[in-house]
Amino acid sequence: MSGRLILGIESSCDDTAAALVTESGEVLASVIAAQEEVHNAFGGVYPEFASRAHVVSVIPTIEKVMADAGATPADLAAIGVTRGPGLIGSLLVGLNTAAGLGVGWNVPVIGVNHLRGHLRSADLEQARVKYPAIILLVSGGHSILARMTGPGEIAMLGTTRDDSVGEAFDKVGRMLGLPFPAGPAMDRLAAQGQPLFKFPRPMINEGLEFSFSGLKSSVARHMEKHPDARLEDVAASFVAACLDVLEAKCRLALTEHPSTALVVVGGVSASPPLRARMAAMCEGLGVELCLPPLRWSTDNAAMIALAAWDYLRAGLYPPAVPQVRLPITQY
Amino acid sequence: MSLTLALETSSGRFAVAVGRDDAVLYNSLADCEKGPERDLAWAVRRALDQAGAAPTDLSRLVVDIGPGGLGSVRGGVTFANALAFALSLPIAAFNYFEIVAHEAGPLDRPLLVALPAAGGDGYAGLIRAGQVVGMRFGPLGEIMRQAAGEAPALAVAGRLRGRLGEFLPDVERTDTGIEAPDPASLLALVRLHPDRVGAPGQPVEPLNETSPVFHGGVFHD
Ligand SMILES: [Zn+2]
Repeated sequence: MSGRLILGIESSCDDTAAALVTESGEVLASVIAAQEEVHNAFGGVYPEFASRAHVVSVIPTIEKVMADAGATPADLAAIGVTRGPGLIGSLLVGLNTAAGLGVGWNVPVIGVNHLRGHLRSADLEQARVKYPAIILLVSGGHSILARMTGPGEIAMLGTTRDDSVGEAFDKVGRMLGLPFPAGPAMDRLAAQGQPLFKFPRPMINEGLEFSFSGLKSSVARHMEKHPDARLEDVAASFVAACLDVLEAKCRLALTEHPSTALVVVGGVSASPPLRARMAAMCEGLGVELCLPPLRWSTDNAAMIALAAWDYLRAGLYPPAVPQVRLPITQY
Repeated sequence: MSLTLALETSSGRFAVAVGRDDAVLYNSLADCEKGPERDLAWAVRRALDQAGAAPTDLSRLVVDIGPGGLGSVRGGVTFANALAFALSLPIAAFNYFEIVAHEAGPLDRPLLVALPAAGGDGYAGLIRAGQVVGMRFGPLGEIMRQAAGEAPALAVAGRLRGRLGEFLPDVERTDTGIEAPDPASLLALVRLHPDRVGAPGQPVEPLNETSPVFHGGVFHD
């Protein structure tokens, strides 16, 4: 291993991303080619279009990140590329690109677990996480609670049995006529309403697993039965139910696994009411709340590169083969 | 002295060949050693190794851009684009029908090349006198009948050639036996068509059902 940088490549869903990161987490350059326009029209990510867009954008994205950092292939210790979980057609574009670059530049290629990338994202640019830490990852693709005792040392505590929080936001958002992704619009709508309706808080007192699909269905049933209910109140009631569940799970995790910090990452961590709730809870518990910049909380390649350093140190080279499902416990 | 790497992507097995000028130095179809499935990095390293060359010795790539296995074509073309970018190599792209036309050689009748796509759809290509005169994507029966037109006799190739009796019961069919392309054909094609070699590092795109080539051109005039 000679180079001082890892080139991260991320293409598990709808964004094509590349980044160059040092072992200490310094981000020399990060480029994300977003596909929002492609998917807005469909109210979600359409896998076949996502994959085709990756094919077109992946090389220009990598070319730009190398140019932005003024880096050459000789600077690279490895290429870290998301191997899963994700959409098969999207994953295979990033993986085959990494494989081709690896052969051409004579650099090792490491297949990285996307979820491990998210869990490491809070240490990008500066070491923010005080270990041991509880990490809540809440996004369109994931709802995960994990505990980390150090970089790369990850224990899964719980995940969702059905929909992720972000998915529930997007599906309820569609019922309320909000654009995709629905998060920001949902928060704005909720801020103008009252949580008048008692939607269920699925599994709120049952361990560290999540479930959001029942909540989404009960919102749908409520809207059918009460077509004239104020949408602002429906949104406020839905958001309140989600926040109650997330707060309860984090509180339980911190009680069962005493930790120094709570780290919240993923697209949903941008939600102002979620941030306020978590801040109040952490203050009460005497736990440090860590909310890294949103640019590292949503999908990006810098987190993949930082996680790849953990693999390189441990001598782990999982094959660069797409894995649609990949538990967080695996590398 | 030009060292060329050929990648066949449409069959899903990733066949690889290496050639220098007229000579084929390596062909994975003749190699008993099989690497991990769908691992192009392994296959290309092995190919270059066996040809006694390094990646930096390459002067160009020639790639099958499909149609064919959706994931394998996309994965293979993406790999080729990355390798070309990494080493500033030019790529020559040929589609599956052109490769099959080359392999079939001169025939006394039109050649119908047929392969399946997802959900009861398929691809058809019609070749006359070695030229691809039309390509279509759509419902299998419909595009096969369109491609066959009034022809009383056809040569057939491609993964669906054995099923064409279902759609074209009255056409006399001669089986060419060609199912998946040989990567050595790509080496021959790029020698015959040097004009198809692109600029160094210039990426190519895989074919899919929305590609314009499937929605223009006529089979019969
Ligand atoms: Zn993600």
